[in-house]
Parts: sequence; C-alpha cells; structure tokens
Amino acid sequence: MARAAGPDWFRLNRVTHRDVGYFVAVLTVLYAVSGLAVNHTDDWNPTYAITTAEVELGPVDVTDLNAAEAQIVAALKLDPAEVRGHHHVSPTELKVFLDEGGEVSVDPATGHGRLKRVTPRAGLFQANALHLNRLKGVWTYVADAYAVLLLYLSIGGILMLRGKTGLLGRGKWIVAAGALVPIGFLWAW
Amino acid sequence: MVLALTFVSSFLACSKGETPAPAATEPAPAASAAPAAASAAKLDGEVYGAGVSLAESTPVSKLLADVDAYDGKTVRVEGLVTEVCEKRGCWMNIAGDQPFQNLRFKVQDGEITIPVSAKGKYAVAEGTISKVELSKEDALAMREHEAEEQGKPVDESAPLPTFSVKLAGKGAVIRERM
Repeated sequence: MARAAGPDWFRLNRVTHRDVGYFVAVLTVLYAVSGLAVNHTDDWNPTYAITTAEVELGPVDVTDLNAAEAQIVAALKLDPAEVRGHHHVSPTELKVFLDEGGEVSVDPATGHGRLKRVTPRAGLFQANALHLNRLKGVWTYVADAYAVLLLYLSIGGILMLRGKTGLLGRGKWIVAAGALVPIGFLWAW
Repeated sequence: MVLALTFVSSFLACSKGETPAPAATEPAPAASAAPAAASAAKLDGEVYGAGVSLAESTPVSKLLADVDAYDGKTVRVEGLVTEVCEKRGCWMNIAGDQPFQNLRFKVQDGEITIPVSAKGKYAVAEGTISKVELSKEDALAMREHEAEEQGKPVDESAPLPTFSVKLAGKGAVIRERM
C-alpha cells in the first residue's frame, strides 16, 4: 500500500531534533557544568576562588583611620590603586577593602590579621551568571527560549522512534523509570 | 565599656554560608566610613532588584535604637557595604551611621544577587525591617557560625544577643563612592 502524501513527521522531527541539539549544545554544557558547581555550594564557593593569608602587622593606631589604612597598605605593600576604603567594624577589627571584594582584616591592638583575595573562577563565574540569570534583562528571554528548545528536545526525543524501541515499545518503560526518580524523592521528602 | 546591645543581623535568613553581622557596641570616638547623614541620595550606580523608591534614608542608628517602632515597616538605608554573602550573594551588611553598627540587607536567593565586588562600595537599599527573637540556642549557634565563617575562635566572653534585625531587601543601588 502506498504511503499517504504529506510530510514525514518522523523524519522532520529527527532532522529538527538534530539541528536544535547542535544549536543548544554549548549552552547545555555550560548549564550542566554550572549545575554541578552550584549543587555543592554548601561545600565550596562555585563562583569565586577565595584565598586567605595570615598577616602580622604590629599594633595599628586607629585614632586616625586614614592613617591606619595607609599603615596597613604600606606594611603589606598593597597597590594603593586597589584600595577602596576602610571600616572600623568593631574595637577588635579594622577592615581595609580591596578591589573585587578582597580585604585586609586586622585586630588593631595585636596587629594580627588576614589578607583575603577574591578572584572570579574563570569559566564558572560566567557560566553561573548565565545559568542563575544574574544578567537579568534580555537574557531572561533568551533563557526562556532555551528552556522551550529543551522542552522540544525532550518531547521530540521520546517521539523520535517508532516500533519496538519507540515510546509505545520499551521507550515507555524507560520514560516511566526516569519519571520515578524525582517522584520517588519527592514522595520520600 | 562594651555594651551588651543586641542589635545583630539575622543569621536565620540564609542557609549555610551566611555570616551574621557583628553585634553593635557602644559608639567609639573614632569615626568609621559610615555616612555623615542620611539624606535623599543621588541614585546613580548599579541597580539591583526593584531599586529604591523612597526619597529619604533612615539612619541605621535610628532604626537600631527603636527596632520595635520600625518592625514591619519599609525603609531606605544607606552606607558602606562591609560584607557580602560570598557563596550566593544573598545578603550584604551595610555600615551604620555610628561606629561599630551594621544592618544586614537580606534578599531572596535568585531574585537579587549581590556581587562580592560590592564590598567597599556604597549602597542605598530599601526593604522591610524584621526583628527576630533569638533563643539562647539560636544565639549560641549564630556566634559559632560567625566564628567558623571568619576562621576565628568562638569568643565566649561576648554577650549573647537576644534578637536580630534584618532588612528584607526589595532593591538597592550600589555605587563606587559615597
């Protein structure tokens, strides 16, 4: 029997699925890597690399806080251009702020302190900004469009094949198994 | 003399990783980088969330002096950003107009992300004042958490706060300088 005239939807789906897959591949990798990173935020900082070094400066006179800041900057040989200012947090803590969120925290009486440096993690900082929509604005709509394409990839994927390996064959069991994972966790929650 | 004032910012608002603001103490003669006076600021700078709509800022010292009167009210505050949530960007501490005072500006995770680079900049922020009573267990946990975050030993001699104050953030404008 001759096939009915008209588009071959299965073929069209395969071709579209392939090309949409190519199109979103890079962003999907970025989102996946970011997802792995931010899933473990309790254990590490997925966005910034933060290093801390103990420093000994000797007693710092806080009568004049500008002079105290200058003393700290000179003692640590910091570039004055990276210094943003200072804040007398408490009687036992004076902070000097540096670019990018770095700081020097010193106990003025003892001169003991910590130099903290903050550096955005190359790649992850940018991936997280996209994934967590820190860009806001137009990116929100780009991310919406990306989500729609992912929906298509998911639905188009399960409808791609016919026969024994298709959705009506063993596919339905595999889809059901995949659905049971979140359902099971939510049920146990 | 160190007063046992209990104005601290909430540590309850963020999950693991949040550092509570230090307890406020008696003003000292030395001035810090707090604003000289609260006033209608020229709002240039980076806008976060809904930004700022109120025209006048309330001094942090005034808020902390009468927390009950401001509890639940929407206010605008301004000051130096002294600390930022490094992992999630979900809070920042704003220096008060008196030495040794801080107010925590807390935002919903994901709604606003405050970058770590905001530290040392000047913020004008708007939100709702919220007072949270602390049990002794809460206060002890907060003190331990703060010490852990800062890599310092727990100061057993410090007075325990009985309540915390936070500013539930709606928006902010952050700029380089006051």
